[in-house]
Amino acid sequence: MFLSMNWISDFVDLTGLDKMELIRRFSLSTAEVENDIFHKGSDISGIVVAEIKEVADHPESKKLHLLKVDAGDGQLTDVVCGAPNVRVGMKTAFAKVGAKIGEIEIAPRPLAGFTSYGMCCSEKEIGISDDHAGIMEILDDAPCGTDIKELYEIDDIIFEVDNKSLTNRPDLWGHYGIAREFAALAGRELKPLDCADLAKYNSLPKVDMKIEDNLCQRYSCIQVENITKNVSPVNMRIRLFYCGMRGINLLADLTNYLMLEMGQPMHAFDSRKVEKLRIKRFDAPFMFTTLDAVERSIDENTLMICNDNTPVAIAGIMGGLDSEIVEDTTTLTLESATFDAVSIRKSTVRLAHRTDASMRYEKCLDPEMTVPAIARFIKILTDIDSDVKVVSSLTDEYAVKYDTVNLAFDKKFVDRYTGIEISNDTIVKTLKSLGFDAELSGDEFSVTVPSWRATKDVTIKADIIEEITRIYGYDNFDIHTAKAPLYPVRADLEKTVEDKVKDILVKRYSLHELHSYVWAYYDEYKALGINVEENIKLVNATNPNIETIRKSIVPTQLCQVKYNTGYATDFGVFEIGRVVNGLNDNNLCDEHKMLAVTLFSKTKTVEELYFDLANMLAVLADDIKHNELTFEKTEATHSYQHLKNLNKIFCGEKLIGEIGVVHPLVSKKIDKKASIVYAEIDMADFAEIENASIVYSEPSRYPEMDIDISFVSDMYAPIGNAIKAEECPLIKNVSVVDTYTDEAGKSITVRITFSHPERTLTKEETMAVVDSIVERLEKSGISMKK
Amino acid sequence: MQDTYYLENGQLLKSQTSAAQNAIYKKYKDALVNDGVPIKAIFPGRCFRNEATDACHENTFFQMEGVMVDKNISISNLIFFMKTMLSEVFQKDIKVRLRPGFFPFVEPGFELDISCLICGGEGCPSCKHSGWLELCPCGMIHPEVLKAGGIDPEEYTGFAFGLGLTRLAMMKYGVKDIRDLNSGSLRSLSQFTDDE
Amino acid sequence: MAEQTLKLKQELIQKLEAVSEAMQLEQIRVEYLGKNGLITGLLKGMKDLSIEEKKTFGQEVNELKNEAADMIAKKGEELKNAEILKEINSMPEFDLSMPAKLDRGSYHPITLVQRQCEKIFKSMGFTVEDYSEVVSDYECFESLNIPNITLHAICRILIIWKTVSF
Repeated sequence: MFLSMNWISDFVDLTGLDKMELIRRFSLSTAEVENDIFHKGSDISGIVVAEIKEVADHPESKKLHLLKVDAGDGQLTDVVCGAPNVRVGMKTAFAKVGAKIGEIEIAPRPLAGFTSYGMCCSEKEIGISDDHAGIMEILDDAPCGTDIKELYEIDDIIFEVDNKSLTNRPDLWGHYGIAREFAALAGRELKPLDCADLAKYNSLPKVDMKIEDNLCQRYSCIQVENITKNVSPVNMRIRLFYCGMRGINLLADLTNYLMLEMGQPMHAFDSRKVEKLRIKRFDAPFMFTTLDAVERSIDENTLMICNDNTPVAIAGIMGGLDSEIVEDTTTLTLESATFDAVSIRKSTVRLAHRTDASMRYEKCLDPEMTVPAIARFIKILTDIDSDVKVVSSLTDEYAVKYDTVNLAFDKKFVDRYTGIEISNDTIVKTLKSLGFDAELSGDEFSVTVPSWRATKDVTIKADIIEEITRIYGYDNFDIHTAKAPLYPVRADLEKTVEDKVKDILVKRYSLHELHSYVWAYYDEYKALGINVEENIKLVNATNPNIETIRKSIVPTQLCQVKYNTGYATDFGVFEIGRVVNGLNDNNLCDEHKMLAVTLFSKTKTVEELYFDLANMLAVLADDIKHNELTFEKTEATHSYQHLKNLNKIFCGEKLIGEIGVVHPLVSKKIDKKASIVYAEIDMADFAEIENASIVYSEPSRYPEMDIDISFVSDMYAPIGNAIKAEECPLIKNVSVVDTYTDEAGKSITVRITFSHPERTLTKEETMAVVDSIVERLEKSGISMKK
Repeated sequence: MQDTYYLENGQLLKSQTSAAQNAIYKKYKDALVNDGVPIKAIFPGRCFRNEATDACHENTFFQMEGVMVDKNISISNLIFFMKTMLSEVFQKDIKVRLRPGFFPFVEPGFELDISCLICGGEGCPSCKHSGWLELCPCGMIHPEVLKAGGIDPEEYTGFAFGLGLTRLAMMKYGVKDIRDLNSGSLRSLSQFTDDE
Repeated sequence: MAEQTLKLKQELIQKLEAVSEAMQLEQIRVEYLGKNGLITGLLKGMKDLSIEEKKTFGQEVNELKNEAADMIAKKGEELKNAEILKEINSMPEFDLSMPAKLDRGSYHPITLVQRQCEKIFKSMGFTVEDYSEVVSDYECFESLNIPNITLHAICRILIIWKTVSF
């Protein structure tokens, strides 16, 4: 919204104050002002009122005329002018030699064989309107030679406020409300609005108007007649133009002027079209043509202004084509009303049409404003056109009132909230300057919120704090730290585990951490041959490709791997992110935080890579939890899982995740030759594992004995179990030193390390244990390798 | 709010980290009320907004929010805290200024600007010659919000602030296109090693 | 007799100069100082001498024996040192001017920024709280003083529509 300092100065005396500084303070205390501030008229000088005394045709050019102009300097000036509207006796804005218009300095100028000693200006050239059809016609009485800037308010400072920062300040959508803020900031008095005394017209008949719907909070109207003047005063047009509106005709300009001045939108109807003014909604949808000749579909939730049962305008948004003021309109019904903000907002969305008026109605306007707006309108109108007659009394129906908001608080409350020293006097003064009724009794304040702030903005005590402090200025705050007792902060277990996992994977295994979206991608998954699992869906996804929430990170991660196959021959990625595993018994999402890791290699075999990954996970469990993992073969249930090499991961009894080779169909789509393996672990389950503590065991001072035995067996597990079952305290360590496959099958060589803390062991003792183990295994069908 | 992702069961993907506030108040209010332990918590997290994505807009991004609640937390404390904390985050002396901001869960609410990191406040293209960068919303926690968390707003006050972690990461590392962060592209993302 | 010792000494010196391997050296040691060595042999040939002559000659021979042992030991040292030097020189010079092979992983930049912020806050006594991504209307709006009538309505309508369309 554009604002004019001249207009603001109508209501508060700012002489002697630094206007730019005030605007800066306004930006900090009230609403954001855009960076560009326009000093209108600063680039104009030397333009005066002049009368065209003679007009002669140019001998050669049809468009050009040779003028003799009286610029009030005792002589007639020769001017060549190409405007179509020149005529003798016409007064215009004349730029003398030496005048400046923007970058141009006016000098004598040869034009088609004649010299022009000056330029007659159009309004556009002066910058006061868009009109460039002809030179400006000055109708006001002013002697020739009067500087046009003295005649009209061309000099002005215009600044723009970001509308978004006005969302909760319905009182700031007009210059008067803005002036109130400036008055409070400058410590100057706010002048009252000059309005007509409407009581004068009380004896006149009322307008036949009735509110038939509680979506209209207040409706005020009056009828006027005999508007003969059609052109608005220049200063009014200038202000409207500077504030971004185009001058149309007196009536339209006046309603716009009121809207920009008080923030109250108004509308004028041809009185014949609203003989029985009714405000209501209809039961069934219908078509309606608005002012702009567009046919719109109106539903049963849209409030309409009607003439009895005929819709005449969409309330708060736009008038109908039929209700327009036409040539032979003599009597007008002027509307000044307040409508339910939510309903207006919904209607503008439904109709996909927003206007300056509807924008304001959406903000919860103060219904107390409707009558003063009419009074102000009448005052300005009658000042401009004294022939205008008011032909009805003020007709006002106030259907829905806002409650008065009274707030009470004590000085302690203010001190505590603000943390600064601010005197009672300052508090009362500031609040009063903003229109609040503030009374102090002892240390207790009682405040009544003015109607224009009470519609939704100021409702609780904390809101009053904001009023006091923003005018006080946050720059003026003496800032200091809060003092709080010291307590050690306990780290969250899951978070600690998560950080450790990331550190190990990045630093020790050189994996790369990625993030991905929380939904499954139909197209991308399909391209890899992966099905999207049925799962809870988004209701308002922007595109059906992403409407299902993912149950696992792995498929998305595989897509990411595909995207990166050119990055390196070997790499690994991981993500700690969230998935939703359907709904639980309470119909709520079963959300899990998962760690997903995928390794990709063009140089290693799948077997090597699979063991790499398994070892990586074992290191995580060992390093973070001092615990071991066990793996159990499991059945594939997803399309990306290999049917043969897929294992559940356990830590003790607890299932924490799975590890698998990627299904060849999927793997080949990612890369024809690469080995790709993945694992996914539930972070909460992993974090919950009891941390086995490290127990120091003193190494024996006596030599250890290593015995290697080879067994023929596909799996290590039975061998390991047999050794464990021996429960021999002399066994210090067991490791697999070799695996070998030949015609006899697969054989595994284990090395058992024996040790005694107090003496050297004998061969007999250790062999006895070995024999026992061998016997155990023979019983389950596993024999030593010959 | 029209840009919130809703799920079929009526739940939604959180559009702001503020969603954690209520649970945090409930978790720590007993320690506050019974033992006088001030509530001091930060909660980073991922947020979702149903928006079209482009170089500056994403539908999936990170925020970090913080609250502090105690008996006498004031606006003055808030300003001090933000200034101190942001100077640490950016590793230089930062000036802050508050402008009125409207957020339903704080009152008063502010937009906090910091002095431009590039020009220090002189004015340069990065800050559109204003000398200031708009950084984060903050304010005093709305009494209704404290009440909903089981804390008496007559006894206790607090401040809250929200930092855009995604934006912070982009500012700190000079990432120009926000979509890079969720792209999964190793060419972009493998460049970030520990820089503590 | 004196000539003999001198002759032997000179011979030994010459031979030692020609030695290039430890094995050769050992041969010479045996040849001169072994059980049947030349110098040892000299002592044996002393039995026909007078007591006076035995004394002088004996001294000379012992001197020679010691000198020879020293020379051989010294030569042995030399050979060892030459061997080590040879080993050292045969090693190629490793070119560290080649760029290092940096095998490193990476954190997501959000993780880095988040950790930096967390560190600052933890140092000021703040706890770090994690929260779910799926939340309820109450958590995201109502409890935050954001009235949500509109959204409830939209949601309900959409849920009903979805259920009906299945």
